Amino acid sequence: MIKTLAILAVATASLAAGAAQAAQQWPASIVGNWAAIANQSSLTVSITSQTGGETCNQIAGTIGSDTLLGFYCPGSGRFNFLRSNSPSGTYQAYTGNLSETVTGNVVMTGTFADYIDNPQGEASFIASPAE
Amino acid sequence: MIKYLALAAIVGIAAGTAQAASPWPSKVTGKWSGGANEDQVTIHITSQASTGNCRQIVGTYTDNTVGGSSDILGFYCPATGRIAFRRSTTGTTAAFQNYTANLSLQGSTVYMGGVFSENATAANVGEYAFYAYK
Repeated sequence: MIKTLAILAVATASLAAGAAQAAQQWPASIVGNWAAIANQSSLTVSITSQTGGETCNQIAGTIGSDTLLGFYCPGSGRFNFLRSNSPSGTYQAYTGNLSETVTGNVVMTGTFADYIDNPQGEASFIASPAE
Repeated sequence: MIKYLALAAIVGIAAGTAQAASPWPSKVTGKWSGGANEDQVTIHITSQASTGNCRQIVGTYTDNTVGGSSDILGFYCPATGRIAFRRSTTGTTAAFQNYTANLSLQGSTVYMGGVFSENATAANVGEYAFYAYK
């Protein structure tokens, strides 16, 4: 009986630990500078504002020398932003998720679609907080 | 008997290979009917580049529920069925929505299923379901 209770206690503690870990998987804010690699290019992504919205918040800033406009959802880690400049207008679209590889180590991974440059199509994208 | 089984296996593999090799149409030009979140839409892809793994597409997007037309610019990849495009106000190039989807075929109907992102209207930013067919 005591053995059974002990096993249940361990199982309950494990579930609680798992739940706590899952609940803090994504940061509340992604404002700041991110060091990114988009296909073959190294870029700095600067998210200068995160405001408004309900489930998801609108984000704005720069990527390289271009502007970005999109959203981040703190409840799911989902992000999406459009990259624009003049005269091309919006020429790339980035989408993906944040995750925590180890506690406190957040990464942004996903894909971006290019509508104007050659070759067109999708390529990988990864970013981590800039030092 | 073994000879017949071997022949059947070869024919089966060949048929499977042929089917898998071209599950997606080579072109997506034309008018598509569909839905994006709460709205009924018509997507008219007016041109598709003739070369490249993924080929630039251009066209218009009409929201039949609230009215109004937009421009679209994106690409379609015939080898994978992947399609993506931006949506911008007619005559402008700064997009306010982005669409990504994959094509699939059922009989003679081609379906486009995926998501679109709302990026510009702060109160509604996020991702929503999107589909179209022709």
